[in-house]
Amino acid sequence: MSVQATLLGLQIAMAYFLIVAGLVIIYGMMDVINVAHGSLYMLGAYIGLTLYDVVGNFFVILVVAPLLVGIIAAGLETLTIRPLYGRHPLYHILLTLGLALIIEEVVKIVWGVDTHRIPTPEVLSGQIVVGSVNFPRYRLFVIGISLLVAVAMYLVFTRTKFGIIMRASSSDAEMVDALGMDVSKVYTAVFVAGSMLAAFAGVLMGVTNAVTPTMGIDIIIIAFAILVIGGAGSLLGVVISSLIVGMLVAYVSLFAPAMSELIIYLLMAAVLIVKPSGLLGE
Amino acid sequence: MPTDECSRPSTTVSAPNTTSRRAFVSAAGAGATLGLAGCLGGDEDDTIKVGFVFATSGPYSLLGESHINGFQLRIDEELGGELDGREVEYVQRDTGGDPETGVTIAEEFIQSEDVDFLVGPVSGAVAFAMEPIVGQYEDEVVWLSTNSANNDLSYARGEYQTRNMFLGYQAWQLAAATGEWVYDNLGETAALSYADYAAGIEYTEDFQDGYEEAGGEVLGDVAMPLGEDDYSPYLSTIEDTDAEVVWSFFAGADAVNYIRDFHEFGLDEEMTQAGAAFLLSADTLEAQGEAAEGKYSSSIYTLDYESETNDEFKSSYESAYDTDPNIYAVLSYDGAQMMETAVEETGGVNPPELIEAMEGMELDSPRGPFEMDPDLHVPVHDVHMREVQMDDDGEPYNEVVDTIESVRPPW
Repeated sequence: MSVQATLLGLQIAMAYFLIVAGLVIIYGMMDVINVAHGSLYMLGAYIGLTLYDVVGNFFVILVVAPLLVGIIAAGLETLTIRPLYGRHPLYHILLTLGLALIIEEVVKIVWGVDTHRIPTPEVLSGQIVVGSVNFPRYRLFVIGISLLVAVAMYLVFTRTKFGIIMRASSSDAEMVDALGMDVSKVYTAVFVAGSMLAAFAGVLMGVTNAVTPTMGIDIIIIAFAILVIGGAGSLLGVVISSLIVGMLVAYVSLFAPAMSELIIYLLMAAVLIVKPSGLLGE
Repeated sequence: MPTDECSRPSTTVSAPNTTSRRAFVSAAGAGATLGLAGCLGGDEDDTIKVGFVFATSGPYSLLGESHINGFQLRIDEELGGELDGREVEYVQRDTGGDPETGVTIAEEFIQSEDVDFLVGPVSGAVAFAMEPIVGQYEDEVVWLSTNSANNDLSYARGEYQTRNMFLGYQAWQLAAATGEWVYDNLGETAALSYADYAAGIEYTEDFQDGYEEAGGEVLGDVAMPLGEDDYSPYLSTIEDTDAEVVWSFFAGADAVNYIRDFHEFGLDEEMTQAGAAFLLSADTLEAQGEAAEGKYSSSIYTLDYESETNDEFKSSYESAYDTDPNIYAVLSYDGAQMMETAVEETGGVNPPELIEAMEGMELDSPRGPFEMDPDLHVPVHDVHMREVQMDDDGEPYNEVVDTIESVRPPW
């Protein structure tokens, strides 16, 4: 066991989880496979970058950038995805793939193709000694805040009225509609919440990873792999598969660098053959 | 389409149909020799035509634009768009970084546009694909390959004796040639880390050769996937070597990520980071920020290199384009200077004569004075060893700390 690789694996897993969680709740509730999810993650990072130039405080942008992306997501859902509800899922894939490509081009026009990074906040820079190794303070912060978000998500789902309505809409949308709830509003809320999670992850990862116009497409491929491994629609499933993939990336990079990306897709292929519904999928 | 200089003779020589004579000739598939005899006539042109074969879209677009800016800065801004009393005109097509497209454009420029000079491309893959094709038209066109000059291209030059001029830097010059300096100045043991693709491997192997020849010992190496966005999982492999120096090849976004992760994990307190130019270049330094401080790289052009020529070039470039020049602008600026000198010396645009004039030509470049090697057709230029320092505003910049003079590849 390497302390450093384990911590890193945990940090990578938590960041993946934030992204995939949004994908899962949107798929679970709305049956929409959102290929543009990675692009909202990217928008979070870019908007965060620009906001940082204005306000200069990381913690402010960590809150404000997801809110702004949430507004954009609300517009996207209302104008483009809503008219396609009830159609074959292929329509959603094609539509959101188109959205992803459009967002990528817009990002190139607005921010250019250069590589950026959001500066590490002063209080979180440097390393902390953990056991026998130095570990970057910022990455520990990512682990901590992601855990908080995960717990908050769990509480929202199980303990709040909003969570109950969401789950009800997912299992029987017509009944919820009949009871006087506006299901389309619930869908919009779910889409916005999922997108804000992605944007939140985008700002967090914009500090440790490069902010580039291809980051959205890059992350969505891995996110789908994690989704497939964990089981589409299962939140607990993707918690587990994020952890597995994060640890795999951290440890395989250490011993067989050339394999570190391949291993994710090998695992995905294996899961698809042995248990096509994913580890915890039904 | 017929060009000015071609449409005129075509009115006196009656073509068999309404097609212009040139189009007829190239359609007949005999473009090469007939085209030369009927139309170029070497010295009779009253314009000089330059074809830009650059990517102006895609990831290399910034590079392509900088090249064109650099070239036109010399010809249009500084010389008023004329050479030896002839107007210089341009044609330009976007390769998109695609080798096939590059070849097609080059052929079209030579056959239909009748260019005197081909300038470009950025991508080594495109240049490599163009090499055998352009080689067939050596008596018609001078190819100034202003960016790409990986080792293989100048090897190929040695083997086939093609006439192309490679104005860029060689992997060997930026890597192997710096091995001794790194050994003498930074440390006697090294770890290597690099992006796992052709250029990364070529540079790293070259560096290892030069470093070991100088007496250095390589304690370990790690190849990392190209386009990786998080290098942290690989860093402990480097750290565990306990080497004094880590030498790396990464470029663009990879360089930004790698350097910041290296700094984030505090590795720069334990070992000295060095690498080829792209690791710490003008286009990455801003995003790398303070993480770049104290790290070394080798390059043939540095913005803050102090010389009268560079100062003049910088202010000329800034007033024309309102931005700082980069290495790519310099490479094509030098290409334009070479074209200018050769045209003036030979009093024409006859390719064999031009190439002869360019062989061994000495240029006073913003990168520093250099000579075009008459055999390899590559610049024998100085390599700057640079250290990243922070200016008064806390912004990183490259300071030239040493110069390895007149570096020529050994083959």
